[in-house]
Amino acid sequence: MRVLIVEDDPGIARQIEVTLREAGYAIDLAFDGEEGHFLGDTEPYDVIILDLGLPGIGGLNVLERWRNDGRTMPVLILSARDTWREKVTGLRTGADDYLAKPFEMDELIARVEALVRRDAGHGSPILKCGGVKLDTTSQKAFLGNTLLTLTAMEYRLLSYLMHHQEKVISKTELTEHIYEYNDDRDSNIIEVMISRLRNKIGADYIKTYRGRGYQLTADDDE
Amino acid sequence: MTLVATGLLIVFLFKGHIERRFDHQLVDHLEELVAASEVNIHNKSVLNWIPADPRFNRPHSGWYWEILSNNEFVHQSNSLLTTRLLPFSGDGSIKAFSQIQGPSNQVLRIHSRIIRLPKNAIPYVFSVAGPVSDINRDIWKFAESIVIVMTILAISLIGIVVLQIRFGLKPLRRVRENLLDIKLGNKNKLPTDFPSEIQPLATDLNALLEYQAALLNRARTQVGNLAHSLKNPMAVLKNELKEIPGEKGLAIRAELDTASQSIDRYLQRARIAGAQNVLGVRADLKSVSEDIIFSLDKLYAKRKLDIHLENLNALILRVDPEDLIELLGNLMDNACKWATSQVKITATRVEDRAVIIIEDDGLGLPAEKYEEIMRRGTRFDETKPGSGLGLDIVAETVELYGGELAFSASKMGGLHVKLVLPLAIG
Repeated sequence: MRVLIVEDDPGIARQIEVTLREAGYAIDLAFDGEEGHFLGDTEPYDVIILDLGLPGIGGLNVLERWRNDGRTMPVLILSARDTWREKVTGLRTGADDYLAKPFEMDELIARVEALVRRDAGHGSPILKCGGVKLDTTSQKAFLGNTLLTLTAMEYRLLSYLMHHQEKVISKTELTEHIYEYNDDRDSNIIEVMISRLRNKIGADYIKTYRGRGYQLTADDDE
Repeated sequence: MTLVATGLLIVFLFKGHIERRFDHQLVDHLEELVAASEVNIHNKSVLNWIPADPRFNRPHSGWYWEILSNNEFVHQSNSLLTTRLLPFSGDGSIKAFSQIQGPSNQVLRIHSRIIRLPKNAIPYVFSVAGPVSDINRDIWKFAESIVIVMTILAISLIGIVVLQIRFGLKPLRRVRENLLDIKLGNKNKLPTDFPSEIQPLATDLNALLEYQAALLNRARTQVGNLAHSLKNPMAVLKNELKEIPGEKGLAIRAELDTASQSIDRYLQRARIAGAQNVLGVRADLKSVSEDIIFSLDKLYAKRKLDIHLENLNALILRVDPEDLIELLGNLMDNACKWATSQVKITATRVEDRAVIIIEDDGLGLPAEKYEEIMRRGTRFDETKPGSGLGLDIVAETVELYGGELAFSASKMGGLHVKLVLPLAIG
């Protein structure tokens, strides 16, 4: 799961970045409206955290442009402006959630998590696929009742697959959602990680469709 | 006053004029007598003709003439009958004009002249008299008409002055009316079509109003900016605090929360105080409620709450829209926080007020808590993250609009909030 943080206050931006990365997200930062808009426009984020009071183009304008251009990713507004008028304006412009500053980091994570799940069509914070269980609140994965030990990248990979289980996902898509903007992207590493994941959760859960991608499925008939 | 003085002066001048004319009349008559007089061969004075004025023939008419010679009368007018006009005066000194007591107790003005007729050495005294009452009568008549004229003049002058004040001060009255409009919030500046005498005043007042509004706006923006700029570091501090364990961390956290609440409170108060100045305000209950519900649906999307409105149509409240959205937003938000699955908002018109009921099907609050939650700084639930203002400010805002806020238990199970706000007129 990949999150964009558009926030001009470096202190807050860093805190969110660190916390969310710990929570298993790939994080990109943008410190002004221009950069934020560009990234949101070109990269496939799973959630965008957007501040309103940005230098350059304001947060609302950025959001409006995304929505006008048909970008439908979930956007959470994180703003010091906390009147109802401002909330209504933000949500009517196309935001999916609104959190006022100062905020509790746990609350932010919970809301980001909720947005990701809602977008992928899941209600519960605990995702299940056969015997594989992913608790998005505590960022832990289980096979049956056994806790799985995963690296950060493996967790991201599993998380994305769990959110989009039963769908065939291309290597490119996986790359785009687990790597950060500045990471070196090597699609071969995906293959390596997939095989390591298979070792941990069992080979049957992840199917390979040559030339198309991978599928996480509970259906192990084939 | 001036009019009375002017009247008196005119009467006085007229009196002089009348007297002079009277005197001329007397002189004319006397000269006629002189012209008619002749001394005949017997050295006797004879009159070739008698003055024709009939008043000299009417007995005691007040108009008399007399010709004396050596203090004995030679001729006299018929009006005198047999009385004498001039008293016998031995010294023969004669005033040209004087006032005497005539027959029938009339006060007469008399003109006398000593004339030496040709061919005769003896001087004759010619006298002509007329009644002073004639003069007075003329003066009175004149004075009467002067009083009438002056009264008419006075009335019309007063009328003109009143009209002048009324029309002359009309622009000033307009200034006052417009200032009242500004105070009521129907206008924000004076019009610019005043007469040239008043326009500079209006322009200056407008400048002052603009300055005041700018000042107020700036102060409000500054408060907002200060509060908002404090929120970022507050957020950072709050999150960093997690690294500080134990009592110390808790103590700092408590202080930070207090500071954070103060910022919210004063920011909120600054906003409300701003809207309070504007009295000509109106807000559509339905559209404001729909805005909030649209937002709440998104904010509480994961809980799948059923929030519905009833009977909110055509209720226009006399409340600033920003204040209304804060009031309803906070009350409805609280209802959503506590609701199990349903929130209901209904409104009814009661006389000139709207009664808005917000109910939820949550657990509700025990009755003894109703007072407490309206007290300063308390939220419904300290553990749930608060959004926006505390209920004490909601209560304060409602009071500001002369409304009511009351809590009770809902039939749905949760809290029943009754909010009464004034409706806009018309």
